[in-house]
Amino acid sequence: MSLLKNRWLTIAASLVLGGVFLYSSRHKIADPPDFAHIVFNYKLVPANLINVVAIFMPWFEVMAGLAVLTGLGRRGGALGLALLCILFLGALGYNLHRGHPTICGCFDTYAAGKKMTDAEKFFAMKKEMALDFGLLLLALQVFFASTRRSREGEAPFAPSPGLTPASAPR
Amino acid sequence: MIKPIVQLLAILGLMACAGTVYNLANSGNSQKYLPWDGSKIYGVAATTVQVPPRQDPPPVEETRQPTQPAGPGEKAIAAPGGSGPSPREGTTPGATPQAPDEFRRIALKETLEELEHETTFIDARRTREYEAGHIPGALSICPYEQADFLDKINKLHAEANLEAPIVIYCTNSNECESSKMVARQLKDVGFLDVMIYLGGFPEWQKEKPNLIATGKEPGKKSP
Repeated sequence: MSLLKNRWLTIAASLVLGGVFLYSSRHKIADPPDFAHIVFNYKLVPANLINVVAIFMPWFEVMAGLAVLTGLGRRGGALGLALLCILFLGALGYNLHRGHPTICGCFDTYAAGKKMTDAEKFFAMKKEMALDFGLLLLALQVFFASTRRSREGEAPFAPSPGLTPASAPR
Repeated sequence: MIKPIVQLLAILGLMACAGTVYNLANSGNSQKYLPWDGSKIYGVAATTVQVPPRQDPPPVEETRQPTQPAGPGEKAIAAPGGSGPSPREGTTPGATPQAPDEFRRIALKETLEELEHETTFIDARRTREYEAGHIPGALSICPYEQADFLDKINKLHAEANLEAPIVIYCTNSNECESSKMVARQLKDVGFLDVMIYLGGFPEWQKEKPNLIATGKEPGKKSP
């Protein structure tokens, strides 16, 4: 259990989690109509919410990713990204279940994905689900390892005990 | 547990501010701007999935013209703010059988004939794809570039004859729904003969590589 709350594991998880979501938001912010196309292609979002999702979701990824990376609101960021991963897993899983090939759009544009055949799309969806599951585990690790108790003990990015005011020579 | 929730709410607030500012800052840029509500453009298709064609088509399929392949069925999962697929309307001799949400599909041969007859062509792909190559004479009207999408539809409505045929294409009409979204808008404003080129630009590129115009201008129709 102590390994799961290991400070270096949390640092690595924060870097990977924040970095992946910052990276994945870049093409969505650069081309919102393309991301709207991706959201539309999922066939899950009501028509009047597609653009709202396409406008705001990339910025949620940016803000939560930055929170996890910088440590300013790390637990809130990790909680948000965990919920986002669950959302992605649900959306991809439901489309796999009903046989609707979907371009994930996680790391690439719609234009790049539309050249794939249906079989390739289904395979890519399974791969993206595995990736989302991995990211969910990272988000949970960051969330639970960054509790107050762990911050008091071996919190990530915490100053070494020798430099804390409590242990400083009086 | 309260602190992470407060942090999450702060992240949501920052997200709302950044998204709103970014979208408003791009309000003049059709390549980046999205209106808040796109329901008029997406319509019922937003939650309607394509299912594979049936092995034994229902009787209604027999009324299709020979050039119209048995299209994929549609299964309405939910239809917020719209109506589901309507029953096919009665057809008169010589008229194209079209339901309000279905459009006649044409193959390459018919598309070439329409090009010879100076029919209006519409490219429903993204502008950058259009500029990289399009059917000569085609206009660029992409339903996802919504800053000027309805303006382009209204301009076409003002300039074109409503009874004149229009051919729309995108990447591949089996997968690419952009053609259908443009076709629905054109039907809504009153165009009577709207067709979709089934093969889309990939087939055109493969079969007619010499008949491709590039750049922002439609180019000359010279089949």
